[in-house]
Amino acid sequence: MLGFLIENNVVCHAVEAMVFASIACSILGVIISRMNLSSIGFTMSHAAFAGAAIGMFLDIRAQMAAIFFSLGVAALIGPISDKAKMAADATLGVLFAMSMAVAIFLISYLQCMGRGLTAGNLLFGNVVSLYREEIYALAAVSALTIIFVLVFFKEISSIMFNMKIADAI
Amino acid sequence: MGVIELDEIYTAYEGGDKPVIKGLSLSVNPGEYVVIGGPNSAGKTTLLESINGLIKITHGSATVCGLDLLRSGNEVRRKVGYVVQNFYFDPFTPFTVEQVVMMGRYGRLGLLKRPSESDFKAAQKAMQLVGIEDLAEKTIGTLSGGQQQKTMIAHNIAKEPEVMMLDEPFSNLDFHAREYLQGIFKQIVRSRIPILMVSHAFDGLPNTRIHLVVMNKGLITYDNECDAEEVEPIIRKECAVD
Repeated sequence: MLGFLIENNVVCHAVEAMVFASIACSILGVIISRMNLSSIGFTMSHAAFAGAAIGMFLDIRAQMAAIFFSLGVAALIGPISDKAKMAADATLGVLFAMSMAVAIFLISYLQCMGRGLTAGNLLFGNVVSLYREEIYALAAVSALTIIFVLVFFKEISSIMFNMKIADAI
Repeated sequence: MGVIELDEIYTAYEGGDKPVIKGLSLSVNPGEYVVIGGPNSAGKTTLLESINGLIKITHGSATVCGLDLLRSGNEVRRKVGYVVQNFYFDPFTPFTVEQVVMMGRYGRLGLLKRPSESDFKAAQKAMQLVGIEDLAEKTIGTLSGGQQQKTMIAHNIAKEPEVMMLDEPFSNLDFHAREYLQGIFKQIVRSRIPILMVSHAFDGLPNTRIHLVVMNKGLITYDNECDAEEVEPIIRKECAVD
């Protein structure tokens, strides 16, 4: 996509990935910070980290395992906060610690079993080794984020303003 | 049949082991000015939040605006205005007074619909009625407590509700603002929309018959009509305060 600007294919892929990631992150970042859920960022990244470790351990696609485990953790935030009467940030802290524990345990185990795997690689990946399909997936996520926010803008803005007042509307 | 019909309702907060409201029955007719009084933790706010379905009714039956509250909580909330008791808006909140008042229309609009000209007109009218049209462009977090409270009242007036519920609406307001808003509430009642107001301040109540409800420990201990000047003595007597 940006090949006409950047000749080097590897750098071009990296820049494209960063552009699409920054579109999605900047839009969602505003919403998340207005909802006082800043810790959702590192909790979800570590949930994906744990999911990928589970995928490696079970010998299934790490990417898919990371997506499903992250969705599972995201689905738990609301019900746990409601049932345990905890602030969402406290629930996120608990889920973060749990995900981290699962990931570290599995990575240590896999390393002991002689699988060449480091926590850094799994957690951060490598922006210069992205495939074209992964860039398209990032572009799709950015587009979906924009569409979602445009379609539900009035509902999202009410929730960002005040959760209880939004409930009463 | 009244606009609100509660029959032997019990409500409890999620995860709570005991009901906050126990076997409460209440009937509210169109155009009634209902004052709900009683000591702290009597269940007054819980009653309001049960009426608009924010707190789940565990037993009993409830009809609000002709809708079964247990089945149609969302529909009921679209028709019921509710000025909440405690709110805090941080000074950096980006929403302007105009946007907050417009949010009152969102429930009526429903999903996927954008505000139309009539919605903007309703929001403008509500701001003018409450006297905050000159604050329209200001962000709500930078306003005083009283101005924020007026904004929340305008937000609910813009909703054009069939029932208006107010939880301590005068807590941040000076005498002048209280009297001014009481005048607006009188107009609302005259247009056959019932008002349910939880308050500890009974000065400036309208010179109409008041439907007084006194609550204590999740139960109604008094439910009858009285004059405005009788409200405080009755509540004092019911709560055994001299």
